[in-house]
Amino acid sequence: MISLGAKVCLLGDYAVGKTSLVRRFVYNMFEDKYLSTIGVKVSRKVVAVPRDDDVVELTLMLWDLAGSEEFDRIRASYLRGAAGALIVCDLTQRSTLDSIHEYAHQMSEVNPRATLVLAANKCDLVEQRVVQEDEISAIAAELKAPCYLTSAKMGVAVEEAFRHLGRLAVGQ
Amino acid sequence: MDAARGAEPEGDRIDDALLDDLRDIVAGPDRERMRLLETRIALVEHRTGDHEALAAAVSPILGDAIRRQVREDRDEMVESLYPIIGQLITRAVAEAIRDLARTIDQRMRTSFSPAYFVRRLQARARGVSGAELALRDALPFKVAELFLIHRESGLLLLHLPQEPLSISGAEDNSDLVSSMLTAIRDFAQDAFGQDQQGGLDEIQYGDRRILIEALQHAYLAVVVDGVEPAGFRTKLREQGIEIENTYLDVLRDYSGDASQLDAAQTNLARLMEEGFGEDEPADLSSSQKRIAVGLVVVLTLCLLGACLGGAIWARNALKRPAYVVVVTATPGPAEAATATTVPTGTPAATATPTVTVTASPTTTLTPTSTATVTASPTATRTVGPAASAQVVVIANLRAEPSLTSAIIERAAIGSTYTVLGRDATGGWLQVCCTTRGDAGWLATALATISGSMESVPIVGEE
Repeated sequence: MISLGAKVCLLGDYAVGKTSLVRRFVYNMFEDKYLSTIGVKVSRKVVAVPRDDDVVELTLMLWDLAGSEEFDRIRASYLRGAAGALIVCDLTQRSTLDSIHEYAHQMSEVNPRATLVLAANKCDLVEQRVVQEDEISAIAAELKAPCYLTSAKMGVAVEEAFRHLGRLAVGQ
Repeated sequence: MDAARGAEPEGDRIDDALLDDLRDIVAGPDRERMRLLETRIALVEHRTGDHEALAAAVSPILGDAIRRQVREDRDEMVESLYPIIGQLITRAVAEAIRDLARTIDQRMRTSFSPAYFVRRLQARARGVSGAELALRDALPFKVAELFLIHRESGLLLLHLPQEPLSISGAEDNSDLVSSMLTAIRDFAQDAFGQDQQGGLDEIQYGDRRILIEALQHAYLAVVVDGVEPAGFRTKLREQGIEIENTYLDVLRDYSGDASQLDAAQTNLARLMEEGFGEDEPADLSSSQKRIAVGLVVVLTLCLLGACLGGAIWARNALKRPAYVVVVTATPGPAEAATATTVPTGTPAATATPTVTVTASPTTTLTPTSTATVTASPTATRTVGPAASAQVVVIANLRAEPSLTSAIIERAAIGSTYTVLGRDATGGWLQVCCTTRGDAGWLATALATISGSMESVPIVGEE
């Protein structure tokens, strides 16, 4: 089995649930306090992805980037060398959709070959949902990115989203 | 009794009730206070009985009290604590000095190798005494861990722990450490570096330090304990440049497959070797380097001069005719003198009345000089490793080899680039790479060049 590594970034507005996705589904060594100090925290997620009739053990180094504006200037350098990004929005907050294009643009500026996956989080909060599925699908289509309705709380489709990102990162 | 109580008149029962009420009114608050006091006493007894609870209750107060005392009357605190702390410190220092003395003794006993002798001579030449050298050598230095990290992505390329993880049993988090270290470097660069090139060189945490040596596409992070020996940084840079040159294609478009760099472990293992740098000569200062170069040049010239002089002398000796003039003096009255020299000598003999000189034609030429010149055409042209240029002042990298050309990046002092080419005048070097990965032109005068320039092509010449 081939072992590969790839850097991927988690992008999204403040409180959309990026850190919750990371906290629940990946290996953490560092505390969340790094997010508020240097604006990033790195975690690890190992996924097995198929490639050319073989299986690649892909170690995703997840750079969870702080969503607050104070780190905007620094974010560009954190994006360097990333193979892909998981852009996260919140289905219960319409305003979090507005920045998706901005994040995608920043990513493609720094890494033109980077791949994107869109995660519309908090799908478990059905009653509070203000964004419809077709709106998310439309944005994903514009970005030519696969889209997942996720719930970090309930564990819905998170694994799939990471796995898809991994497949894209190794070129499948 | 019950019968008697039952026989109590109605008026008495009312009086008792009134008396109770009166007692409640008069003594009620006191009774309540008593109950509270009993509760508090029980709590205090519980706390004093439970040492941990007592310590937890007292420690904040104690801490505050000590802080206040230190603030208000430092001298008194010093005097009070000295008998305890002073003795502890004295004991610790004495123990450290004993360890140091033992290490120096050990080294003195085992350091009679020729290499150490040469090193001692070198140290002496630089004004460092043998004792100072021994003391310096006795200072501990250890490479604890070594990371080779991809510069852009922060992905771990190689990791050399001092003790294999399978033995130490520790979880391998080196990839997370390398990524976070990269994030910290990026943060420091963005926060403090502004538009300058360069970056974080060192992180110190207690006695442990992380030395960082940035290369073009990767960087080395070495976790060390103690003070690194002279020349360690240079060695680090050299190993890094060697790896960079060997794996340039892999590093430039890194695919995430770290196994491609497995062979580079050999380079890094050298840095991990225990006692590294002991026999490494210290870096010379620029003035010392100039003097050394001057001495070498003078010695070379002297040697050439001696050879040349020897050759001329030998040539002249070969050409010069050696002849023997046999002079025979024949005493007698006749004054006849004939002198013949062969082939060129024409001595004019002056006869005196008392001496007859007869030069017999027995002059013999005996050329005995033999000049043997052996040319040994064995000089081999050696092309060294790719040349690199280290910027000595803040310099501009330009799009073309001209001062009027556009500036594409500003290079900080100490930035090192690989030399790709040069212009026909030699005044400009084409170097690689800018932070964007492009090549740029750097004025030769602004950089120190290491490595061979022989293989560097002239760019733009047909």
